[in-house]
Amino acid sequence: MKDVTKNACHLCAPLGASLVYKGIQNCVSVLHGSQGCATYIRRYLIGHFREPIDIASSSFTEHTAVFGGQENMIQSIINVINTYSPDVIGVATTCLSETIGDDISMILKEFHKRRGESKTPVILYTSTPSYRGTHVTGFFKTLHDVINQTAIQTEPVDRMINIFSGLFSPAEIRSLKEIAASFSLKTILFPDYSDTLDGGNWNQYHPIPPGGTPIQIINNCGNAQASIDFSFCQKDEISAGQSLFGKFGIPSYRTAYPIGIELCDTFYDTLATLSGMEIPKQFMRERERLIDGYVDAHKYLYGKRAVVFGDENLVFSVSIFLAEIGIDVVCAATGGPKDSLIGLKTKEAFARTDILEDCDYEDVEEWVIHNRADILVGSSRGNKIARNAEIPLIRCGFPIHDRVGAARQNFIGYKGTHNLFDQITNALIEQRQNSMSINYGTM
Amino acid sequence: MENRALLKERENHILIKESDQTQISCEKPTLAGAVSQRACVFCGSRVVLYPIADAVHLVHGPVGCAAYTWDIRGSLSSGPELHRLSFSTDLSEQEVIHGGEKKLTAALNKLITTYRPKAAFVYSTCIIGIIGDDVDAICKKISNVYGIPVIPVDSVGFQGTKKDGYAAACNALFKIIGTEPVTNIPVCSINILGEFNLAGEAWIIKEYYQKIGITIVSTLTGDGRIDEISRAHGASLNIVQCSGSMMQLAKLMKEKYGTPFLRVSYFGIEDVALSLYNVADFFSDYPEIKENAKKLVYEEITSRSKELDLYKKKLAGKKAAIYVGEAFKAFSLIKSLRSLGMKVVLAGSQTGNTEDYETLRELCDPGTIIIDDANPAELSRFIIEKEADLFIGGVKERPMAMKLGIGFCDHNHERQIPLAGFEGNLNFAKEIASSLCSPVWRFTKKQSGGTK
Repeated sequence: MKDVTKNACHLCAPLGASLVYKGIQNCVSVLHGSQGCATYIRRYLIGHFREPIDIASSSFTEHTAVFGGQENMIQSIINVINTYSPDVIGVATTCLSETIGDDISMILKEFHKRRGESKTPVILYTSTPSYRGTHVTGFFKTLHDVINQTAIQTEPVDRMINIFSGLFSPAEIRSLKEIAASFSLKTILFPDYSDTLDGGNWNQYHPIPPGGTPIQIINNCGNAQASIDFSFCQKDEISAGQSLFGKFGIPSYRTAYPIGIELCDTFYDTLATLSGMEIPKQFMRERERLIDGYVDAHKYLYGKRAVVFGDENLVFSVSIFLAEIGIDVVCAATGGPKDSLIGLKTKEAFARTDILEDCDYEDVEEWVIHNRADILVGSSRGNKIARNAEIPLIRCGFPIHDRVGAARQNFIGYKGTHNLFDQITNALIEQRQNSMSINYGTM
Repeated sequence: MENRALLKERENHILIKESDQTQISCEKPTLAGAVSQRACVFCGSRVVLYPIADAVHLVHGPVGCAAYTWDIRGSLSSGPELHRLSFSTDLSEQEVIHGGEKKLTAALNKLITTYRPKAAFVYSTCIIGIIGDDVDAICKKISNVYGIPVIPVDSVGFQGTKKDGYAAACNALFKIIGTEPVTNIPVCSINILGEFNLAGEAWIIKEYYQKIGITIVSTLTGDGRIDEISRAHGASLNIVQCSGSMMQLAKLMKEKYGTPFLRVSYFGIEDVALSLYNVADFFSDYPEIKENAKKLVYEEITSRSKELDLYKKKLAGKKAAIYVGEAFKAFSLIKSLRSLGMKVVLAGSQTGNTEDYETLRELCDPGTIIIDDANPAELSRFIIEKEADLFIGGVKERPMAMKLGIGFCDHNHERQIPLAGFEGNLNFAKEIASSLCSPVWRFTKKQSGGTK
């Protein structure tokens, strides 16, 4: 146990919950706690996605903290209904409401009782105190809880699968949907914030940005043939796929973020198995191009030393990809809980890698100061480390607060991997070019 | 967008100049579910004390509060940068159950031995208000061990609004003031309160004062240093910008040390000049200060007037909506925009008081919407209704403005371009023009049949 966390490499669970709720069509989230939680999380997400993000709060006062949050919660739900007319309200708790012992299911029962016959949106809820887990576990827990509360099994639908997404960018979610569609599969992708958090310019103002998975579609998850679940580094109890397997016997494929040949192969092979189709030619061509790219650039990469940090799932996949192209992952770091990178620890390729779990950015910086690294791969929060060490930072994951285009970044699938590959390779080439006394015009 | 009705409880927080004669409702707890742009008590304390660069700022509670406020202000330091690090006791479930005192003690020991700060601030977050850690006692103990001020900041998130957080920050500062002896401080000396050195703004302002012959004892919260703050009671006058946050400290200092104070603002030519003149008038026994001030104002204005005129031409007749944290800024912005030939159609703040809103009403043109503790639904509705061309606010409002197809100027604490002082005023015009005059709006559609 550390004495103090310095520049945390994780955020709190309600942020993950808010992100999942952004993936439901016509949904507004309500955080049960102080006004600050909602506002801080809005600000943090807006800095990354650059889209309007409204999150309501039950705005605790001293009175609420003493007498319980029921009235505030009910009032906030009513005010959200009156302002936004949502189809769904997503409630998430915070450390405050959990510590005083508010029982959301009881409060919602009371709300429905008072509401009577009035038209009422679907209300989902999850427990996400800030003192338990991280924004990543909060994301998967909320995903799990939404599926657990809504999925029903009626009539299994042929060729239909669930894709339970990870902390992907909107562009990556779009790409996942396209890939699955190419296998002639009907897909329920959840949470789908590919439009709500990466919208176009509007002709009229939308209090709730258009997009997201409709709640009726989410209900239908129980009728899928299988689930692809990207909660790869998470515990089973917060895996939505695992929950559906337990409830309805729907097989779940826990899949790592598809980055690099090896992990992409697993993902595309799974789709091939589930669809009974061969992998479409276009993807095989993308795969060939990626391998060709690896070969073309391998000399610039061999033996380079990389430090990877961020969301444990991303760190896992990026590390495997880097090892695949000859880069030594000298340090793999996550703010995720202990053992969240156990998947790396058991692999031969990472026998000499320093694997830091439950770490903060100051741990990573310390590591970089005392060891040598050539490149950093992770969130924009690593910019101080990169600047001090005078090495490039490839911005990847969440948050990216100092560049545009976070929502359009696509690093998954063969094509997405090629993007990431080019960025890393070019950053290393540029670093070498800039450090030479002669200005070479070629590589 | 259909014109959704306002929430009933929110109706009297909004008024239209002239058609509504009633007093605005303000200084109230935020309405649950209203999607307020406000944060919490902790936020108020954190933003005020943040720029003190040689102190450790430890946030006591689960990780979120510290993580979201890591390096969030563009407050620059001319030396140490401890303020740019985020420290949290990062309480886990077990610590919430059994109490966080041990963790807090360990964290303070670790931070003080590692960084050797001049002081430490310990911010209490919501959880601490519930589990009841004796933060005061721990701070006292640690302070005795290391011989530096270790100041508890009573910033429990739910115990009030952002404004109560300002008060907690003022109380924390007040504990440091007066702890060092004051010698060799000249008569013509001031403290600068409520200036946070965003993008180096405090440096611009300090230079003005120094040029006209005034000594700065402490800028407290802009490029702040504990030693300077400790000696702040030696100054002859407190100059208070951002009165919403720092007035309480000015009043406390007046009570205890007899230090008089003046309210000022450094935004817009009119208010910067007035501020310098008022300070000079205070030291009227030294008439050269007023002379110097006049000369400085003349030079600063004339050297930029040509360039400023170019922007004025581009901006004339445009309509702006303003939503800020502290009402004082809205006053200056209205005057400043007017001097650029622009018109304000909406003006609001998160934490204004009755007096502030009366001032706003006096300053605004008839028909202007005045709004307290607004939310996106209200802001977007009135922007469309009033056909604003530009929104001035912070990061949370930026995407809303842009989706509405109007220009945006960041006047919040993350800005990286100085907007204070005479040079800041020119930057402000430049900033607005760079948004309003961009050719990209050709491809967007402004809503509700606006003039664009």
